[in-house]
Amino acid sequence: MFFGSDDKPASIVEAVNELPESGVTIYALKALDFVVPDEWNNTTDFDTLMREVTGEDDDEFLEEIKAKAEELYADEEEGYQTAIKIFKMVDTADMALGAAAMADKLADSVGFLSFMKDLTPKADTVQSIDLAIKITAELLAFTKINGIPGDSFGDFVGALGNYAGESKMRMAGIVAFDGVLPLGPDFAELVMDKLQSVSIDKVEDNSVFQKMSEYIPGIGAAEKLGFIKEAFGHTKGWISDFQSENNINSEKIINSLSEYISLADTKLDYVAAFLDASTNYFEHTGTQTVASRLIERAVNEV
Amino acid sequence: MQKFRISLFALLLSSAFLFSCGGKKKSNTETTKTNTTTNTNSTATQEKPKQEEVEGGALNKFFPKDADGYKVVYNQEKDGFVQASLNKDGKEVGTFAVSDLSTNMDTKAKYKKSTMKVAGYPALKKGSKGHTILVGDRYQVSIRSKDASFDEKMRKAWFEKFDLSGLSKLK
Repeated sequence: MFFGSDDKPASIVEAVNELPESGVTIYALKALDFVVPDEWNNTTDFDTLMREVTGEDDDEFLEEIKAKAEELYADEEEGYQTAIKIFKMVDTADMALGAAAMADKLADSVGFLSFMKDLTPKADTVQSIDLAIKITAELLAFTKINGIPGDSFGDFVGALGNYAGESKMRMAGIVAFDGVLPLGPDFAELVMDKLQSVSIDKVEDNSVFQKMSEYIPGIGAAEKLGFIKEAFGHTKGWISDFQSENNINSEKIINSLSEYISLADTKLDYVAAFLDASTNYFEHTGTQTVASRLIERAVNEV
Repeated sequence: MQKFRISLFALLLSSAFLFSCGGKKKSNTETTKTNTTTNTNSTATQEKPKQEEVEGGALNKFFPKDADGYKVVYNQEKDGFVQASLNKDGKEVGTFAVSDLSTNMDTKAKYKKSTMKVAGYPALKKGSKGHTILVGDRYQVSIRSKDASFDEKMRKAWFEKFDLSGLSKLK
């Protein structure tokens, strides 16, 4: 797997080629196919991705595009590496949190249901901060890829409407797995309320915040929280519309997930805790997004 | 679809734990590394402009304007490069890009073999879905098709909708 492998960013070709073809992340994302019907087919081979993005099939031309994409990715100043780091960081933090909570139980041969009992759902405030930081991460990665200022809230919200394929799938993941399942159908309002009332101490203690902090504009936790609030505030309306337009509700998510994963009659927040601990959908689809944008650029520069 | 079994869960969760350990270590290293190279307070200023190339923002004004149901949506703006999508009825039918070839001599050299002119400038066919022209011996304008409705003839016609004369004078 790609995440947590080493300190040096892999080349973009390796990053895509190392993405898994199956696993909990992939099954969880496939369960959200109803949001983006047939738009996401989990391309995990860079050459195939080049053909899909460019519509070209001449090997020599494709090799030129690949070389240009690698060259652009290797230049840190271009921002693509930072975008991948941001996508990766949000998920890695989740993995650590979820895994640590259940680490003691791993040695036991527990049954599925008792295993689920050992998961610890996050408190609403923690979940709300995490979700808002994921939205902030999406904004920051977007600005890095597009080369625009980090506080381009309007451009970001405008672009969300044009999100397709793996990017739209990632947003569906936020709404379904980080919003509706753990926090309920009115999660967007709840998250905003929590962001308004949360203490700075709580934010500083939040492990996702600690990891993402250096990428969030602002001096000190209070200013950075202000940025997160602004990012979420600008995005909230789009999120609610996206949720209702695509009919993303817990029943639909669970029914769809059950086609891939045995969930029995598990409580929603426990399913959310399980997905949080066992998936890296942000990094997975984020890698596909960065690679696609690089290919789109490279084909115009060769 | 095959469902997960208990043993698979255990394996995956072991993996999750192992990876999380690796992830923590990585993050610390990244923090140290990134602090030395990035501005903590503004993500906007992290990428320094390369001196040789024009800023991406300087290229936008030469792009075609929205017209006849077509909408130009900008999506990448880097030093020496701007890219936009051409949308019709909410669907992407093509892409436009302008790149400064000051630091991309490989691409510029390809025009020596150009035998075609489009809009009065040396032109090349790029793959089966794209055309590019070299403007002012410096800027490459690229038009690519994303939909069958936007064909080769359309690509060639849309070059004329750029302010090519203005672009050719940009220093």
